[in-house]
Amino acid sequence: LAQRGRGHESKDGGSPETPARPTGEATADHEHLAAAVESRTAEPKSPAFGRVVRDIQRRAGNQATGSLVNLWGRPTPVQRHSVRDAPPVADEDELQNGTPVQRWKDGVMPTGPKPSGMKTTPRPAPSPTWKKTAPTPGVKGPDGAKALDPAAALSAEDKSAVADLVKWGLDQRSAIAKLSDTEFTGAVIDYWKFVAAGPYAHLDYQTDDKFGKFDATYDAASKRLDITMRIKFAFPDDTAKVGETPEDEAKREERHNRYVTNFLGHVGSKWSGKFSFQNVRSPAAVWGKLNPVAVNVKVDKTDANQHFLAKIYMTKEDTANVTNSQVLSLFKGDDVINEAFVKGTIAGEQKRIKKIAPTVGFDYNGTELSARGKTSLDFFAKYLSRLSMPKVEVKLTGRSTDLAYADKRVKIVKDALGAGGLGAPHTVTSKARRELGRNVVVEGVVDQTFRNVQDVQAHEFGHMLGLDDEYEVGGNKGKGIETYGLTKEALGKDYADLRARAGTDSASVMDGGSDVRVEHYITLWQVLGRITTAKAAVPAAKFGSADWKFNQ
Amino acid sequence: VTIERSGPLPKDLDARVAARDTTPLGDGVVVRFQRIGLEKSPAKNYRWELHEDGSWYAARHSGETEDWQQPFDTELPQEPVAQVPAEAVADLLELLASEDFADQEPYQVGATARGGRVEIVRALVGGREHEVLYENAETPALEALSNLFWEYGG
Repeated sequence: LAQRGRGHESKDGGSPETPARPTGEATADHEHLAAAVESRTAEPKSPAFGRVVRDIQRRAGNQATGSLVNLWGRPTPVQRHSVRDAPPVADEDELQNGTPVQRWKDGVMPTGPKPSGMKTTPRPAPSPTWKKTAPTPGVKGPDGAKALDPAAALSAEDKSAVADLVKWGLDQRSAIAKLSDTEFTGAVIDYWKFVAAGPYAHLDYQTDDKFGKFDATYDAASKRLDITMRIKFAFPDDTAKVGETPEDEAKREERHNRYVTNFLGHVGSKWSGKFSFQNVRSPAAVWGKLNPVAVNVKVDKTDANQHFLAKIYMTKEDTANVTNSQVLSLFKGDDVINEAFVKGTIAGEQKRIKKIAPTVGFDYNGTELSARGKTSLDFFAKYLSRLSMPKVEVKLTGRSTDLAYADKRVKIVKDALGAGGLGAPHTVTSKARRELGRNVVVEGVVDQTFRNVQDVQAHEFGHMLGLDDEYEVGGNKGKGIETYGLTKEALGKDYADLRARAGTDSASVMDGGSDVRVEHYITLWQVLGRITTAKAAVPAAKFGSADWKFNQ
Repeated sequence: VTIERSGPLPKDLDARVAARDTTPLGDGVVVRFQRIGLEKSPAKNYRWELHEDGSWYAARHSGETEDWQQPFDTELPQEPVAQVPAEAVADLLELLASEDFADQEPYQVGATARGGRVEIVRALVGGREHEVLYENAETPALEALSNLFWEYGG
C-alpha cells in the first residue's frame, strides 16, 4: 500500500504511469470504487445514483440559461446529454424494495442471467460539478477562470470512489470525470484484483510439440514473466574410474562444475530479456499498466524433479539433440562456438532483406507517404530492428526530376524507418538523384564481413523451449516448419511467411547461427496467454493470446 | 537396444539422407557405414567401407561447405587407410547377424528428437545385401560400427 504513492499522472492527465502494487488487501482498498461501479451498472437499484440524478435534474430546471456548466463554467454537450438522456429515476423506497441488486461478492461480479428489470447498458453519469457555486479559492481552470470545488457535489460513496481512483494514479479532476466511465472503473477494479491475485504460474508447462518443458510464472505486479528450467546434469563418459585418486575425483568434479556453470550462464544470458510483451486489452489506460512484460529466462541445476536430463559427453563426438522425453545430449565441442561453417549465411539473409525492401512511390509533387508505403516501411524497419546480426546498411535513393523533391522524400522515408524502430546496429545512408521517377528506393546490404557462428548450446536450449529447427529437416520445406502457425498467430502472416523459409541460411540461432530472434519467444508468448486465461479470475472476459502482443 | 518405431523409408526423407550413397556394395566390401548429422553443420559427417579382407577406407567431411545439404564433400581414399583384423571383421558381421540385420525394416527410429543423426548401414550379412537407416537409435551393432571409425580413423 505504501507503494501506491509512486503512481503519477502522465502529461495528458488521463494515463497515469505504473500504479502502486496492490497487496492482499487490495479488495478492501477498492471497495468504494466497486460500490460506485455497482451504482452505475446496476441502476436504478442504487439510491445514491438516483439521488444524484434527481438533484441534477432539479438544478438543471432552475438554470436561467438552461444549460449546464462544467468545472470551468463552460457548457458541455456531455453534461447536457447526461441530464436529457437520464432515464426516469425511481423513488428511493422503490429502489430500496425493488428487484435484487447485482452485487460484488468477494470481489467477483456475479455471472449468469441478470434479474428481470435490471438495466444492462451503463449510461453516462451526471457530472456532479455543474452547480454554480463559489469557485474554490486559488483553483483556476485552463483559461484562468475560477474553478469550482470538483468534489463538492459528490456523494460520500462517489467521494470514496474518487479517492480510490486517486490512489490508482489519477488526479482528482480526472478521477471525477472517469467515475461515469464504467468500462474504465470496472477495468481498474479488475486490474487491482488481477495484480493482487498473482503471480500466476504454470509449473512443468509442456509446449505443444512435447519437446519443451519449463516453469512459467507471470507476476503482473513486477511486470515479469519468469521462465525457469531445471536441469539434471550427467556426464556419462566422464565417470569415476577404478583406482581414481581423490585428486582425480576433485578434478573431475571441477570439470563438471565448470561445464555446468558455463552452460547455465551462457544459455540464460543468451535467451533472457531479448524481447518483451505488452497487453493490448481495452481500456489501454488501465491494462497498459501491465506493460512491458519483461521475460527472464533462468536455468537451474537440480538433482531431482528436473525438466530435463542433460547428458554431457566430454569426449564422445556426435550431434547434439533433444528428445521429446526431455533428454538433452551434448557432445565434445558443443560448448565451443563453431565459426563460419556455412558460407551461404550472408546470401540467405541478403535474399530475405531484398524481398522486403520496398520502393516507395509518391504522387506528383507529393511529399506524403501512402498508406501502403507506410506499411511496407514499417514492416521493413521492424524486421531489421529485431535483427541484431548480421548488420545491415540501408541505402535510400530518392529519384525525381526535381532534386528538391527527391531530397524531401528521402528524408520522409528515413524518418519513417526511424519511427518504425530501425536503429543500431544497422545504419542508414541516403542520396537524392535527379532522374526520372517519383520514388525512394530502399535497399538493404548485409555486412559482407559478417562471419556466422553456430551456438549449439543455445540452439538446443531453443528446442527445450519448444522450438523446432528452421532449416529443412525431413520434408519440412517452406511453411512446413512446425512453428509457422504459432508464429503467424503471434507476429502476423507477413512475418511468418518471411521467416518460414526453410532451406535458406540464416544467422538465427534456430537455424545455423546464434541470434535469438523475436519469433523464438512464441512459446513464451503462448504460455503467457494461457496462464492469464486459465489462472486469473478477472477480467470476466478472460485474457487470451490476442490480448498479448510482442513489443517492438 | 532402443528402437521407438520402424517401417519403410519415409516419403519426406531428409534431403541430406536422401543424398547418401545408395549404390550397391563394391567387390569385396562387406559393410558401408554413413553417418549424417541432423544439425545444420555437416562437419561431423563421415563414412567408411570395410572389406572382407579387413581393408578400411574412410573419409570425413571437411567442415567447410557451400551446400550444407550435401552430406559429404570428400571421396573415400583410393587406398585403404587401415587394416582391421580378420577376427574383428568376423565379430562385426556376427553382431549384425545376431540383430537380424538382413530382415530389419529399412527405417528404424530410436528416439523422437530434434537434431541427432542418421546412421546408414549397408552390409552383406548371411549372403544378403541390405540397407537400414537408423535415426537416433542405439544398438550394440551401431555402437560397434561407430567405434570402428574412432579406432581406425579416416
